[in-house]
Amino acid sequence: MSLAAEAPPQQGEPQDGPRSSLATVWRDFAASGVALGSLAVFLLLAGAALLAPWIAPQNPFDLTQLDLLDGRLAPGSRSGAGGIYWLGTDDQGRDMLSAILHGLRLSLLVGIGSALVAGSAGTLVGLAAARAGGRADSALMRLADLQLAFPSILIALMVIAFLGRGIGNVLLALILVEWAYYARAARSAALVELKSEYVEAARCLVLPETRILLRHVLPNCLPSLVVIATTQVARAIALEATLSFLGLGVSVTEPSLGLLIANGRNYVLSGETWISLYPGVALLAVMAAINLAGDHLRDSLNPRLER
Amino acid sequence: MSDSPLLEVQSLRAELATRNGPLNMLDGVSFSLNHGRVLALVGESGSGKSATAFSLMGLLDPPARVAGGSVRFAGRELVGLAEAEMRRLRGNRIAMIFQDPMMTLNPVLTIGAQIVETVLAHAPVGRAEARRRARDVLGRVGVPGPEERLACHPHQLSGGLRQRVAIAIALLHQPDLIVADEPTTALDATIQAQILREVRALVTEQGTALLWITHDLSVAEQLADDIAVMYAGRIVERGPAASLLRQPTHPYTAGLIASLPRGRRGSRLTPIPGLPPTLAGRPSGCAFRPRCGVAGPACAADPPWRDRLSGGVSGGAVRCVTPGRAVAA
Amino acid sequence: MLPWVLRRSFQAGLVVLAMTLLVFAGLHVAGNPVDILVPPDADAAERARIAAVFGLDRPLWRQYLLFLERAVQGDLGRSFIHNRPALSLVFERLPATLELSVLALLLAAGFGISLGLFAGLRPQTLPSRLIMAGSVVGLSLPTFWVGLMLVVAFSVRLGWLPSSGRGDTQAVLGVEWSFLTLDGLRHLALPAANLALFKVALILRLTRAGVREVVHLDYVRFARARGLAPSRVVGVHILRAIMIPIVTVIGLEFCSTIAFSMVTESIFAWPGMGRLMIESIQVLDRPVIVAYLVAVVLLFVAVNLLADLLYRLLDPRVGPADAPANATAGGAR
Repeated sequence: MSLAAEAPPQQGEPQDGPRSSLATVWRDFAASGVALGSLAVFLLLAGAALLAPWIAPQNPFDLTQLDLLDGRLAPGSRSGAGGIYWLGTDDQGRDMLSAILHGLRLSLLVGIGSALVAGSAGTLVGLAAARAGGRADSALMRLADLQLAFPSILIALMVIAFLGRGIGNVLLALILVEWAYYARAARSAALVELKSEYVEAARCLVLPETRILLRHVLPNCLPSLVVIATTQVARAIALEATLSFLGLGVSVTEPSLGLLIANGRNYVLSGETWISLYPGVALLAVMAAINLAGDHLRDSLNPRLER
Repeated sequence: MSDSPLLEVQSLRAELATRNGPLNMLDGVSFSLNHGRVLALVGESGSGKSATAFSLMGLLDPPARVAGGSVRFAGRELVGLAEAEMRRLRGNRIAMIFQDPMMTLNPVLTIGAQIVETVLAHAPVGRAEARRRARDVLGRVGVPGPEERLACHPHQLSGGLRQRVAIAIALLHQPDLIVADEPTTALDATIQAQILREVRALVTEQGTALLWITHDLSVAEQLADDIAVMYAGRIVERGPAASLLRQPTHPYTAGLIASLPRGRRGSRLTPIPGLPPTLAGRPSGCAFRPRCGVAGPACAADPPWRDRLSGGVSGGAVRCVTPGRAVAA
Repeated sequence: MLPWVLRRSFQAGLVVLAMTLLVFAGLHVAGNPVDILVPPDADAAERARIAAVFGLDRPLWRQYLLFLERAVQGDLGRSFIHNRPALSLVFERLPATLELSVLALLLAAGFGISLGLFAGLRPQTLPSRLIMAGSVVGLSLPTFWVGLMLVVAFSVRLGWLPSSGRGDTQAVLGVEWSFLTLDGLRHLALPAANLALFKVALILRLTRAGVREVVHLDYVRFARARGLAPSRVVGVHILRAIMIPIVTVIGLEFCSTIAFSMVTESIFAWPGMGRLMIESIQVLDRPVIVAYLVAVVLLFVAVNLLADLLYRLLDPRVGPADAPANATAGGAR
């Protein structure tokens, strides 16, 4: 954020050099234990989620593998077949650990997938707006501002209300929610870069405009876009889980953490909290890991920012 | 008035904590200042002038801190003084004027509110009386229409007027000492001259001591009784203004004077070669050594203080192994 | 000032118009609007009659104008489920949502600003580090899950606070309010805390960043150099400076609080318009959905307008021209 006036540097403080290379960014990032730890947690969770079909004790959505007699077992209980349900089971005898791993898979798919699509589309819009200037620019940015003025959940619910639930519509909703952030950031970064000397030099060489934009301007906008992407992935994961929890997200046959928590809600009042508790902990862990890593990444990319 | 000076700074040291250990901002700064006198502290940016001012005021913020030495003000030790005690002196017995008048007044409060709060911070008076004093003091520093100005926000005044307001605030409680950190640098030349003249008059009239920090020797010449030249966190030469300017004995002082645009028209300016060292890169021994034309092997050790004895004019001291050489050369 | 208010109101009107266009388009994307307006069990004759009454046999732009005309008259159709005008249904639920959101936002502002001030003024201390770590957790907590866990902790395990409904209410000006009775406040506590949690983290981070930036500014140092008491330096000089962005953000967050109260209301069975909206989407009661959207857009636009106005009043540099005519204009913005 920026307040009205910029802070003068502390007297005598050595000034940092200009843009940092990838190596220095990594060194700065790796200097923080919290940053490395959160990255490790994220990689661990993402790896487990990715490998869920192979490492999960059971396929929680294959009804032939579920035993209703094992329904609502507390964490640590033995299954009829002899295994241990480390995180308990839900009402249908589904192993919560397996369900959570599959749920994380969907969360990450939705989060990263929407970030990729919205990120590319938003960045292109932002670059085009910065390049075009004038009316096209102000029209596009007005649209982005208008959308940013409305809460994400409202926009997502409008999409669902008009198009119905399902993973495709959830993805569409997330993309519609997210694009404006990238467009805004890409535009403001591109405007700075377009005024710089190296772009002028490229223009003097009569390089094609699209080439200047994609080969020269875009790489310099990337740091801020990557930072935005980290927060957007976390937000998208939360939004998908929220929609699914409300019964307005993915269909009930999909393994969503939000659906798991909603399912456990029926048993919360009778004290069987684990069905809702652990999927939420997984959600919290993955989002906190992404947010923390993103925070430190932003600091590493802006060495002059105060920590 | 007692024998001891109003302000006596001795071996003042300040450090800046960094990831790689502390860096010396001030490395043994000593000077003294008496009632009714003006001392100009001269040096390039980064030489530690502002750090000296903020150390005196106890306003050095972490990661910087005062690491040693002594500041005696009216017989009282200020280094290590409790914050509440220090606060009672600030703005009251010791006032400060900052460099940039665009930045020193809070943009969202009226001029009146900012003067009145300063009155109320040190004087047991009511709002009406505080407001009357605010109006009076604005009049005293030559702000036209003081009553209307009180209701203005800072952005509605010009830079010169704003600095007058800041000076007015400094004068509110008839302080014994005013510390002014380059207060005219951000103003244009005519206003600067005008303000210098008026400040000089006010100081003489009230017997206030003035520590005036500047990078501009010509300002020091117009205003100061004494000059102390700072380089890389140390004072390298000090003495009566006229003598020091006429016959500098430290090569750095001589270099500063030689780079001043004055004297015969068309005479060449000779800038000092090189750049002042960064905080982390200060050389040992005499820090000016790498830029000095007359440096020898002896300069690798810390130079001692010597009396200034140049051309029969004595007064002040210099910190150089071979004082006067550069000037003669 | 007045021209600015007029211009800003005009812009707000355009936003509302754009949103109605979007909602209208959404209705058509979603399928035959006749389905929206007639009960599912109506026969073909009834459908044709409704289509004629609502002008659905006419070109789209005429239909849009008709939709607008009826919307201006406050008629957005009847709820199939409740068989009542959709708009009055939404407005009936508005007070419950308003008191929940306002209380949540007050909590968030109170805790957020004070914790943020503390963390900003003493950044290196252990409590500050804990506050900042907590804020990351706060930003990463899924609101709906926290709501559920609050119910588990405070209602099921400890039994301290009720977990659903509004409790006793007190009528003022013909509207029932929970916050005026003790029982109502007890019912408000958990949902308001739930809704506030994310915003506390947001506001405290914003406040801290603002403080870290402002404490090094000359005017704060000058305030200290004048010997002002710390309470005055922090409470007036620092707080006034950082209040401007904070107020703007709180204004914007009010909209988001109203929207996210949909989630909280669903968990705590709080009978507000958010819960009504969720239920309506679940059963595709489209007139109510449209009525909710229109009501919320109007509310948001009004709040944004107010936040802008407040911003201009707080910052004299962009504020109404109250300068004496002879004052010289300064160089700073």
